[in-house]
Amino acid sequence: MTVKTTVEKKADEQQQALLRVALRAAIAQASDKQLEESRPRLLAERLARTRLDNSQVRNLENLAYTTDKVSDITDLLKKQIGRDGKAQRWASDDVGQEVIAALDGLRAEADQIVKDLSERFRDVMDADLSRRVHLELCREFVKHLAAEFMYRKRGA
Amino acid sequence: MDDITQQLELRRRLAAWSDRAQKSATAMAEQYHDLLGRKIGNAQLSGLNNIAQSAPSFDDVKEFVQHQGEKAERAGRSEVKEYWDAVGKALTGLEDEAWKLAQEAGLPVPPRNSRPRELKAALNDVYLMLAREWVQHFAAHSLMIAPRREAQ
Repeated sequence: MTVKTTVEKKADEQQQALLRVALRAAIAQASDKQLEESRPRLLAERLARTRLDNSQVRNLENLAYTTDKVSDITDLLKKQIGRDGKAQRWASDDVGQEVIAALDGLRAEADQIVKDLSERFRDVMDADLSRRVHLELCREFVKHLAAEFMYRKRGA
Repeated sequence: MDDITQQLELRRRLAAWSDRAQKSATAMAEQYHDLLGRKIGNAQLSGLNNIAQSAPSFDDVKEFVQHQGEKAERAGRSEVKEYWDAVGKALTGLEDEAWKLAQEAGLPVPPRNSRPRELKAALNDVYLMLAREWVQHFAAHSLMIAPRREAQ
């Protein structure tokens, strides 16, 4: 195993800090793009026409911001779809499944963000980075979805 | 590596493992799609998930699954027996994964060829962590794809 000198360690720390800044910028850009492309807005509009209430959407948002796994978010949605026997909430018109598909689809975007940064930051990247960026993109998506849903549901 | 660093590393690796494992748990749920809602009810799936999330030992989860299989066999329901056998086999398969994960996280792990009792004593918590994740994925996907019942 190669032992790094103090100077090399310092350089790594600097690179890691720069990577964090670059990731934050890339995620912010991707988040704005999600809004421009209207996917969370369109899904929220459809959800707002169901009998889903604010608390269930808040639960999803809270979970997204506290978990360290994308699969926890999609599992929660799957369970809610499964429990919606009369298809009046998440299961209505397959909208919950489309939210899951949209979240799953963000993995490709996360991979692209990591790939775009890999040339500059390869030495300080780990194999799990893409998954963590995916989680951040899911959080952004759920945030937009929840905000739009609550806006549409106001006074309802 | 100190204890806290080891636990953080284990947590990080467990999260990555769980996100990867969702695919295989989902595929297995799909494989038994025809039984869901017909021969395997939501109550059984929720029961499995509840046991996995609350059991103090990995053996308790495996015993629950084995018991479900035995009940199905006694009732002459071979398809259901096969279903629970497959779940049990998937759970047993997690033992190797747990060993690998614990080793990568820097936990003190007995050699792979140690006696089962020794491995179990050292790795029960990691076995349980993996089982909880896998069962959560399996039950959630099964609940979603089970035919809808108006009365629920």
